[in-house]
Amino acid sequence: MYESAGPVTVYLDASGIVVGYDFYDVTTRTGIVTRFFNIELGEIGKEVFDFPEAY
Amino acid sequence: MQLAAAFLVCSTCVISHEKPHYLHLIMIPPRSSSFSHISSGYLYHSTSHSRVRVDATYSASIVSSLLDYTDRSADNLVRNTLYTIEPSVSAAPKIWTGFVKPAWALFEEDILVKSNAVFSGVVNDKWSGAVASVSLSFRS
Repeated sequence: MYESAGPVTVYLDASGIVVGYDFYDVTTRTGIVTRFFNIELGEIGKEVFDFPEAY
Repeated sequence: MQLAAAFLVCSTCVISHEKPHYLHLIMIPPRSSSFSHISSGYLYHSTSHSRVRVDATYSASIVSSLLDYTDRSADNLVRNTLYTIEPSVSAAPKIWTGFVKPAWALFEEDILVKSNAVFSGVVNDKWSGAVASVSLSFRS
């Protein structure tokens, strides 16, 4: 996922929903595993992404 | 290093993962003792807003990280704002912002097509059970 492009393995459940993915970060020589649980689908309000300004 | 990502699809339909709970494991490489964490928390992945928010806890930190894919630097890094509270909630929050290579991808609806994804079999994943795996070359 780093560099300009890199190999990623994505996992989908029976509904075609992404439940996780694996990739390898070359710069840190690290395998990274991400899994999602209790996934909810739906609208997300804009306010969820409202962060304070850095100071 | 930011954590990151979420979501999606059967070749044409898109599902944006809103509010998934996630488990994020960074396997500790033998050559590095300085970089590792296991975190868990909540993740908001929005293709419509082109933003990913990750709320995580690890070590003594409470962190909220926002990746804004609509704001990119000249070399294609993504705007990240990191809000950290440590070592406890009595501490003043620290806010940092800058451009990063996101580890939390914003998978878009056409990711499988654009990345020339290849179906790589049904696997019995340790955490998720039987899942279809898809291999692709991701370009952020």
